[in-house]
Amino acid sequence: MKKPMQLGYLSLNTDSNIMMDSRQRMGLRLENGRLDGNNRSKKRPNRTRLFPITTHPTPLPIACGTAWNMTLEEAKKNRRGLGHVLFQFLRSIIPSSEEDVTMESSATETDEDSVEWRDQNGMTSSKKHSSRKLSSVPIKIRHLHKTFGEGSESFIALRDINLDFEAGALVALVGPSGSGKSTLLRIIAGLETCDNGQILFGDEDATNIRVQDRRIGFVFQHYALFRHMTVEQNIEFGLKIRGVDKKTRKKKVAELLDLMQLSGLGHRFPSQISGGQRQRVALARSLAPDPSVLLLDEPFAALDAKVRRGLRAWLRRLHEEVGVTTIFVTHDQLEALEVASTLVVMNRGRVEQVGTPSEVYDNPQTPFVMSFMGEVNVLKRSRALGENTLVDLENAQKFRSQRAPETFMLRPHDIQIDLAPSLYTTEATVVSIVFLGWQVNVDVELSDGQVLQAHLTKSTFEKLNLCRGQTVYIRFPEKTMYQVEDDYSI
Amino acid sequence: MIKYLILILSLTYLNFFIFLPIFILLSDILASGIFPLFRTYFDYNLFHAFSLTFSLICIVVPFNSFIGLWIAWTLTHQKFWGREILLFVLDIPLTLSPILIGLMMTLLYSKYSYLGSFLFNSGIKITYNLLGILLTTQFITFPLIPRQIIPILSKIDQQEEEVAKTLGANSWQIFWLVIFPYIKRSFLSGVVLTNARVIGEFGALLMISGNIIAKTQTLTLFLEQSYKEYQNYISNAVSLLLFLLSIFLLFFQRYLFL
Repeated sequence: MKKPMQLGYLSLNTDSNIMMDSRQRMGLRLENGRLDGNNRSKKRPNRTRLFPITTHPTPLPIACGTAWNMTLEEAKKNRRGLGHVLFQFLRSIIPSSEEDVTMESSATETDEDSVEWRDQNGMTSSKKHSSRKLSSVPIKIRHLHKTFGEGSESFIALRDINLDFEAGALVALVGPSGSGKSTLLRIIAGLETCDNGQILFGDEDATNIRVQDRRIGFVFQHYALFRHMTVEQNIEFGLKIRGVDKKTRKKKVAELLDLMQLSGLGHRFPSQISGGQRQRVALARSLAPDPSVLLLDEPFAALDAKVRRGLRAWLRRLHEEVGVTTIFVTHDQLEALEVASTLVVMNRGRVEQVGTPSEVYDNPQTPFVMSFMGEVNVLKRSRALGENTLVDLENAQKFRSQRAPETFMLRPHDIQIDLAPSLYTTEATVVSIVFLGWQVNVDVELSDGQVLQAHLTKSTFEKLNLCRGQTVYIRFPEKTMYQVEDDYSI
Repeated sequence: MIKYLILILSLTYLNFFIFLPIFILLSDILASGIFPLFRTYFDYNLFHAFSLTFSLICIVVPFNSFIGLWIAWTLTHQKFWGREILLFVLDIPLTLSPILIGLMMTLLYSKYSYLGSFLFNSGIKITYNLLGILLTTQFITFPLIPRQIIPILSKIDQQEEEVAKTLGANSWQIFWLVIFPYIKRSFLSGVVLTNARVIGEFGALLMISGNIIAKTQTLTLFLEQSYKEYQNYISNAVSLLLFLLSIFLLFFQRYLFL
């Protein structure tokens, strides 16, 4: 056969086909997945994808704009061709079948108890429902870059993000609003596309896999439950879509209701249950199809303080039990410290620091992390400070800045207050005292007007018996001072 | 006291402006007895007009349902230039006077226009033909369903669709399992409105159809003609038919779907 002539993405075969008159063209027959213009047949060609199971590669009509003699398999690979576009369209509207799925892993039912995940290599990993441990994958993010908008209105949401999460990790993406943490989560989920970069689920490049095939569970801040479905139907939804049979579905739903402590609420509608319960339903729904990654977007932000506290502990226990790689977004640093095993602190589209809660809190790498993860005092070098303190400042821990130390940060609870002067103290006056029950916030003013806040425990405060206007002597213990750039402001 | 006054006023209003005309119509129809009415239903021209209206419903309503859902979905789910203009254009068929629409269609498709002459020469007759009636009815009624659905579609939380996506649903499944249950009611009321409009359309059809008896005459056109020709039995019969159809549709909407 001659080589097809290329006309942009539309390539034509210079064979006899093109010479056909329109009458002949109507009688095209499709044979072995190739279009053949010479034969005529009254039988309509079977070219629909409406019925999912077909054994031979189904050809596309000529109008697809790829080659005249191209099979579906070839057309799919030609990304620029109309055939690919049409294939994508068909795949998006027609329930997926085994054979037209290239990257998808689909659940197939083998026996009553287990659901099998079959990935592209044909590898199977059977998971008993009763064990509840899900297969989780490590996630790698490489050079991720995302910009919203175009031209002058563009906004860089993520700049060169590189992250590694091990399988089964419980990760918190924490940062102020606008730091890009939600965008990152949505890109991992596939709900948003990235401009550059790669996302790897295990060894598999997931960057171009569509959301439906990523095997993720996603929980939104406002639950996004299907309001017209009962709790049971909500949880069942993902299983139904993946074609799990009814018996297994019922079993799985009952199990999840039990796990989420929602037994007895199965027949209620989302409007008839409380916020905390709704969030648990949303979690159950996302866990039902056995995801390998669980993503939570500010899961507790819409709940009141008490319920939130309960759910945090509960989420940690759930994670221990299920063991799925979990990433959640929060703007609340306490929540992140409490729940997560790994923290990713983000600011302005950059990752500032990655580490365990204690690493992030005790060894902040940047001034931002220091100020975001807890309260800080900013102290400027001045003559008001005691002589030895000034010497101490030279040994202050440094962030990346190499300039001469002028400004420092320290945590309020690191300031110690004495009633009598000693070698390392600085004189100060108590300005205000705020009693919070478990702790007392004392504001002290140095002689040059700088005000520092100290957090004292209740017993310390009672021992000191401070009152306003009193002169006290403050000390800064070693390794609590962090030097920052002079123009830094919180 | 004022409460009762308001009540009495509103009841009087209802009586005078709504119930009284209906009552007069029905009493007029029934005064001549029911059985003579039934005899007129076997009139060929009437039967033809009825079947034409009925087949119009059968074609236009399913087609409009499909197109309406499609348009509504596109307008709410895709951001493109000219979206606002399209939303505005959607209102045009509803605001234009039907007879003007009829005139427009006649001007467009008559054999003296460019398009019309081309079509006529290719053997497609549109004006004074069934195709013209179909196109005109289509033009008039297509915004009804999108108009009903769009406000509700645009209110649905985008996140529910995203959740469905993460659970593995494709667009088709998302639409039928997640979106459609929300818009079901307004969609059905849009269908009922379309039905009513197809049955009741008069002005535009008068222009495009040419009012050819037993060929392009719909039920409303038939009613007008029979009334003008002093065929009171027949016009009464048609009135009753139209009245019952409308009332049936109203009940259908109110009690079956809402």
